[in-house]
Amino acid sequence: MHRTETFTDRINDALDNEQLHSNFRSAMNYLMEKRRDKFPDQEKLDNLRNIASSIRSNSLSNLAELLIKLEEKLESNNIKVHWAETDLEANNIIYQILKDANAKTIVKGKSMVTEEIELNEFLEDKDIEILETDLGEFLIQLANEKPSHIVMPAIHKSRKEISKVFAEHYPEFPYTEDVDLITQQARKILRDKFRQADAGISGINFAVAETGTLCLVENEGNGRMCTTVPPLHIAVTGIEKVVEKLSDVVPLLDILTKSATGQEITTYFNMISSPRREGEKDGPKSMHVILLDNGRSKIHQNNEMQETLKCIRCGSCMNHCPVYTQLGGHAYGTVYPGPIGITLEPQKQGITQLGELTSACTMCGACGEVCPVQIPLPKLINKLRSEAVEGNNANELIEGAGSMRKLLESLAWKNWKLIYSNPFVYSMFSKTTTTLNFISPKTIGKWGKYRTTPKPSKYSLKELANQAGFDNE
Amino acid sequence: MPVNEVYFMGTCLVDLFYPKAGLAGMQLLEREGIKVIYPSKQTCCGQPAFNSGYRKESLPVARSLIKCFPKDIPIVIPSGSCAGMIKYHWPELFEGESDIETALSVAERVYELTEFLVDKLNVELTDLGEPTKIAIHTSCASRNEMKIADRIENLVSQLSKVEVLEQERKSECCGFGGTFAVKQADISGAMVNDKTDTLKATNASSVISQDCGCLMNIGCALEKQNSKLKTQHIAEFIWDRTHA
Amino acid sequence: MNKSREIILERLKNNTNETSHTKVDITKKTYDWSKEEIISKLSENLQSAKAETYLLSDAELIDWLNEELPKRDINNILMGSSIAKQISKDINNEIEVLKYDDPYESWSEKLFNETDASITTTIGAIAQSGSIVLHPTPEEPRLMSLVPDIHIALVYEDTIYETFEQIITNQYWVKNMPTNALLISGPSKTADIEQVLAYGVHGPKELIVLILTS
Repeated sequence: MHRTETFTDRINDALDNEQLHSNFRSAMNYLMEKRRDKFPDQEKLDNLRNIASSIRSNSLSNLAELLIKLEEKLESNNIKVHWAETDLEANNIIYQILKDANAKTIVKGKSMVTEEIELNEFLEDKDIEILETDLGEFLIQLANEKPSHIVMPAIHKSRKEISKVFAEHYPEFPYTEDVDLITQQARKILRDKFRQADAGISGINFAVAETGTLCLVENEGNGRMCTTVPPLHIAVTGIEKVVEKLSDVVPLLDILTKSATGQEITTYFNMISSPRREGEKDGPKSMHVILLDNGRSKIHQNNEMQETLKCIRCGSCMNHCPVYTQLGGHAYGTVYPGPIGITLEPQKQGITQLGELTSACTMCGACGEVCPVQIPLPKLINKLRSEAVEGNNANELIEGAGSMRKLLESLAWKNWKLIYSNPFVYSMFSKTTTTLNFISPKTIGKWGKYRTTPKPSKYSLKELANQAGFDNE
Repeated sequence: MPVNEVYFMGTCLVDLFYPKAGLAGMQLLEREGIKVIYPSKQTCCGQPAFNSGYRKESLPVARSLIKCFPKDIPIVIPSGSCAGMIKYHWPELFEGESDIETALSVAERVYELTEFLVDKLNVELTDLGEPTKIAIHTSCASRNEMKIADRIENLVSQLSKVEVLEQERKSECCGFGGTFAVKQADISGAMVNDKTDTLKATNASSVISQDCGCLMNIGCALEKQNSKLKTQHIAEFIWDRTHA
Repeated sequence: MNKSREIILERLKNNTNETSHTKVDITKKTYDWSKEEIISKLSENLQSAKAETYLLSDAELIDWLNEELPKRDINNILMGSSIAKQISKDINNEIEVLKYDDPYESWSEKLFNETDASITTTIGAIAQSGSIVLHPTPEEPRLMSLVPDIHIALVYEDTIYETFEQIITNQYWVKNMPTNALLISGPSKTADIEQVLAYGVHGPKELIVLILTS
């Protein structure tokens, strides 16, 4: 995403926007509660998380092998496979397929990976009409905005704001703030679009190597429309989405829908293994799958960070992140916001570019606790912080390692180390601190804008323990 | 094996800002017949630098702490966050270092104070204090990392004259996060303001927690807001109410 | 061979540092529900997702249709030829029976704009999640369960499984993967606007599941 403002500017904009804050606060409360209701038994949840995590780890351990098998199966199912190392390459492949099919109007199902490669912008530049069809994405596209959440893209907008945008674009419909009516109006508009589209583009939730099956999870039916109605279907997926066996999708689907929206299951689980076959009367006549790398194979090489790729994009980490709740998704300035975003994006785009994102974390650990595939997000964020200031740029696993080391900050930590690693120096320091109360508002920056300055106690614990006669061997 | 001797690790924050909480913790242990040793050379677990990415600076600080606990006895810490650092992050911090075995043996012996009082000592408390209403703020490290957040509730429930009022979004982080409070001061400020709003709405007269980081953050924010709501560490709260 | 393919696979294979992960034994879950329990779980779960369910005997099907379709303003109903063969003789002659005999393209407008309802078979159902399972065929193509406003699905009681895993295993899906397999667990819905649930956003506005006893 190209944004000119700084991260700090976007943070301040978000914090100043009370409507935004209240939209996110109520949405996150709702999603957390729904999820909690689906997992009443912690032991069962942990068991399911173990299983899901193990399936995803297995995928990553055998990724090359599974991708080759997936490719073989898809091709034998008559689905053409393309490999793209970069976003540009993926866009060009898709454009070429569309051009060859003379496709001018495209309907798209909700897909974060196509947000990642900015497919809409790319195709619009080439005069191809590409229409988002997930209701939330459709509304966001009307407003000319980006999703602020990976599962609930329009979560930052209130009903009033949505009604206004809708009315601006479709004055033929009477203005309404009734959700059912807006939904029915959108249905009317989009059904014609599905029917008239030359091609459908979708993402993939799981790609099964064993059977060459593409699985899509959705509630609305627009995903099924995009993948069934137009004569051409192009599915785009990150290479990490492959799973070995068909039976692997059972626990993954179960934990995905419960974690994401607190649903027992979504309305549709769509498993596509082939375009229209001889004798069949509908379904796309041809299908293509784009296997996108875009930084993933590099992350895969880094054993410590590889777990990032286990993600099944449920959004639960952001739903439970207190920082995300304050900021909303846009402040991050990246396609993936929240804990998974600040873990994934600096690895993909480099620490020089996005290392600062890792500062947007209190290390509270809420994300790691809810992650359905047990990605140790706080640990990975912490590791990235260390790579940012201590990493060696010659170590090319994470681009920009060491680039965030700043002289003053590192001097401060060196001083801290000198004091705290030497008991004698420390006791001198603590004496000065406790007797002179020397911590000033200046040394703690903006702390004082929201709080008073903490006052060191007159006596240290060491002194009190001594006075009370505790052993101090 | 019954425990009769422990080390007490005060933590740097308690040492400088909340020594009474530390002392109360030691007194609570002593009252249960435990010999409490306070190694005078202790400083800090290394967490502030570790969480900021400065592992090279964190390591020597953590290393200096190892030497303070030579005997094979439990190490009790009045902070979920520092206990979590030693127990769950030292293995990573010391990875590949020659003294990793010693570091791990320290990590294995670490207990958070309320965890130790409840799980190891089965303390029984008799409330001698005046009736009061409190809110409990459990620290994220106690809840998510150490998974012992309910011990503080166990202890408080034994105090017959204490009524616990529950704030909304109880398990949400208060926004401290160590250097986060300075580096992302505005986000942290928004978070602590949300937290103090929910705490004030309970009409409790004090907020009790097992971590002084949270207490400092919440306490200083309440003070800035001129709120009458007070903050206190669980050890001091219990000690004040249960000793004659 | 494609260059990007080689580069990507090379990088993935280069990671010789085998990351260790513990293989978790995925124990197959069975509930051992009785037939009555299975039916009631399926119905409850479907109903909680706003689907309607009815328990009928084979013989009652035609009466149900003749009574219920007019109530719902259904003037025509799309079905495969096997069902048509069974019921078209007895169905209320005010209701037009439509068949999906031609490729979609030749009648797309009628399918989208003039088809009130559809009735399809299923290959079974899943009680635990409240899902009906479809493997569309040339006779009952993919869009039959998606485009008409009302979708009526027939589920034979002895094809209801406890879990998704059981149906995959017992019906040997891996060997016979259809071009499209679907789990459907209610009418189409969205919560994209202020988390307010709204039904019938793109797919059927109503899902009616008729559980047929033998």
